Amino acid sequence: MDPNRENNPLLLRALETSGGEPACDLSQRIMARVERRAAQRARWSKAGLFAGATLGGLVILGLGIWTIRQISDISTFTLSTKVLPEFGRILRETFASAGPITPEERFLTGFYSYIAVVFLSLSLLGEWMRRRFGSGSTHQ
Amino acid sequence: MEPTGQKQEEQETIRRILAGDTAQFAVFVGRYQRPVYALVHRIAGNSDDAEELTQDSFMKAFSALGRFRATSSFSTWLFRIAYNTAISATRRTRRELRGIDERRLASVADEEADALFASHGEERIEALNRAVAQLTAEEQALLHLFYYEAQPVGACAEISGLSEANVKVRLHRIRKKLYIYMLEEDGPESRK
Repeated sequence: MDPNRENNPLLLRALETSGGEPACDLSQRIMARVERRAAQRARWSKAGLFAGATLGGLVILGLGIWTIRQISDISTFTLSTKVLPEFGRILRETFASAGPITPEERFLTGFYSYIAVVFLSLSLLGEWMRRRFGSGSTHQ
Repeated sequence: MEPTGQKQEEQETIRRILAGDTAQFAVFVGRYQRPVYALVHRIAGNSDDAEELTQDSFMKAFSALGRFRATSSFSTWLFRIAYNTAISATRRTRRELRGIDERRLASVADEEADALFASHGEERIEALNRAVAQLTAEEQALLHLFYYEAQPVGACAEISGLSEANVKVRLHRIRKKLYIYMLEEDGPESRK
């Protein structure tokens, strides 16, 4: 029962005459909406990357400060006042552009997130081993 | 069917758009705004809704471009988006259409319908358009895609979400339905 496309002049003429044609060129309107959507998407992507980099960086800093505190007498306050402004500067400089996401932004976020995940995983693993085997526990 | 060269060119354009060159999307808008408009106009039935639905369809295509897999042609994929957008939008407002008794449909011989559509009578065009307007939005879209846009049955199936066999059956029934609507308009003497 294959439908027959050939030899349908009346049907084709009817579809031609009743077919819709846009009254004006819609390209400009569509492209304006596309550009707005693209800009909005870029802003959200950049905000997501910035949040990721900030969170990842803060986790690294927190764990770093905690580690240094275990092996030296430098106070948390002193460490924080030294490293936090530096961290802020790196973030500010990297995310300074308002345009599309740059490779530096992507790299910094990836790097911080990766290190943060590794640090957190090692911390959790260490905590689990301490509970499981009791080694190094101060409660025993 | 799109030629391979055009398919490759469209894939390259998609790659550039996804890499951030959104202005390239104008290539697709320029190439497909008329056929997309014609399809959604056929479904929606008026120009205001058709303009809005055309824009919405392109916006959806732009947003989903990253999920486009070149298993089908870009035009088929875009038509599917436009078809679904228009059908969903008009679902709430669609008018009730009268059905046709199955026995009545079965009583129409294929040759009778074929003879009607093969004729060149310009005076019958208006009547045929009124008959087309009595079809459901899905039926009108299928008619438009297969006959007007000359889309293959496989593409029609992909666009409408039906099986190929189902598309063939529906197209067959649509022809018979149109024939019956036109007979009814002509009055009882035409059935003699």
